[in-house]
Amino acid sequence: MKKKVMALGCAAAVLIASVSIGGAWSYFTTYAETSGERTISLGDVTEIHEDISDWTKKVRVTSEPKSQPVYVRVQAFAGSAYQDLLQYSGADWVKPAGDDYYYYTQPVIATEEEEGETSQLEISLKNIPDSLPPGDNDFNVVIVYETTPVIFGADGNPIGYDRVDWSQKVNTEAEGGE
Amino acid sequence: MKNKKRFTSRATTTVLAAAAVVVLALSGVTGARAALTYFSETYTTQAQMYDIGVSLMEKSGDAEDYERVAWRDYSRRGDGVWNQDYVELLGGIEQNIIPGKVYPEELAVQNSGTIDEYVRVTIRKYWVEQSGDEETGVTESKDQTLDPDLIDIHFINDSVWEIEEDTQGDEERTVLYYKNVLKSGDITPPLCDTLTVDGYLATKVTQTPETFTGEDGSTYTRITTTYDYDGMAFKVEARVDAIQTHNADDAAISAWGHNYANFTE
Repeated sequence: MKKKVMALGCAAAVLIASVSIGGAWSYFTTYAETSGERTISLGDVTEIHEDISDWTKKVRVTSEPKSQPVYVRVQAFAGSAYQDLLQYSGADWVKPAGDDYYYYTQPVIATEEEEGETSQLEISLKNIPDSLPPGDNDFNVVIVYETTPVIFGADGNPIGYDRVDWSQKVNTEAEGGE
Repeated sequence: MKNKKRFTSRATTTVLAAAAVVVLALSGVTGARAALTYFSETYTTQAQMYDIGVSLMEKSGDAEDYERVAWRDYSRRGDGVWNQDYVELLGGIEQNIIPGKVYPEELAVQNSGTIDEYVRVTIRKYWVEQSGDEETGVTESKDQTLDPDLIDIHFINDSVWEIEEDTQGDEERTVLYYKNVLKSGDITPPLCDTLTVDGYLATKVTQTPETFTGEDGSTYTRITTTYDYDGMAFKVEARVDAIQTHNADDAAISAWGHNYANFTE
């Protein structure tokens, strides 16, 4: 009997004490998380292609797949006796006033699988005088092309070829020719 | 030794036990968190379970609709199970991104539970350095030499998304609090709209000139430019936290250590 009374008393004490546990609250909370990763792709591999026929160089520039978009400009050198005889023509190729380069106005954009390319620029020697100066009349027409990274504006579109920083050339190649 | 008498009265013991039972019964009421909802005159009743849940939503790249990219919802069955999963962030953005180019990237939060809630979103962005290759296994480590601010996540809708000003010296982290109660099933306005990596990275280059002679004797000069940051990778982490609106102040302090946005019930 005495044990029963003791047990009842202890149980009562524990129950009364447990009332104070109510102060420890828990709350409805949850969370969810994820992440993503990307790689910076910089650099390009470009190549100039030339076909020569009938005193004309037909030039186009290609960029390998996965290359960064670039702008291209081209200049030809033929020596002082012939420099002024050079004539240029090609869709989307322009020569700003006071500038010696011809600029391709469109960005050359390669995709993951396919290369990008410019349209063809024809550089011709026209109106060659019948009587050339005495001496060695061999000469070279050297094509120099440069590329620079396309910069994207705040609207997500590439800014124009005439607004990029051409001091940031990424590849310069001078190639000899006929 | 003095022998004390304890619980000598059966009446006292009985009263104590009865009081304990009454107190216990009363205190147990707070544990039942179901509400009765009356639907009709026939007094049909239903127990409305209070299940919390939250989902992070993303509209990335050219995507037209939001996609659920991370979620954690308490099971409607009340069996203590959480329905949770995630997919990778930035899913609509090409793997190799171009500095300076602006990529559409919207993040929002949906309440996928059955109770109203307050939410906050924590964004972490940082650079990682990768080493090894696919054969040996690629390992990553955080690169702290590059400024996380070069990864620009454009936050918007600041009238409803409040950015915690004190970064506590952690420049990688941004915490945004949705000021309003997010009701069950609702989705917030987006907290950001674009992701851009600073075009500055494209200006850091190293140039190597090479001169060589072709078969016809003509001379070629090639200047190869190597980008210092080509191949660098960055990571964006997003986490959404949700708390109940009932006793929101205490819940925020309990869960986050503070109630920055002054959430109230």
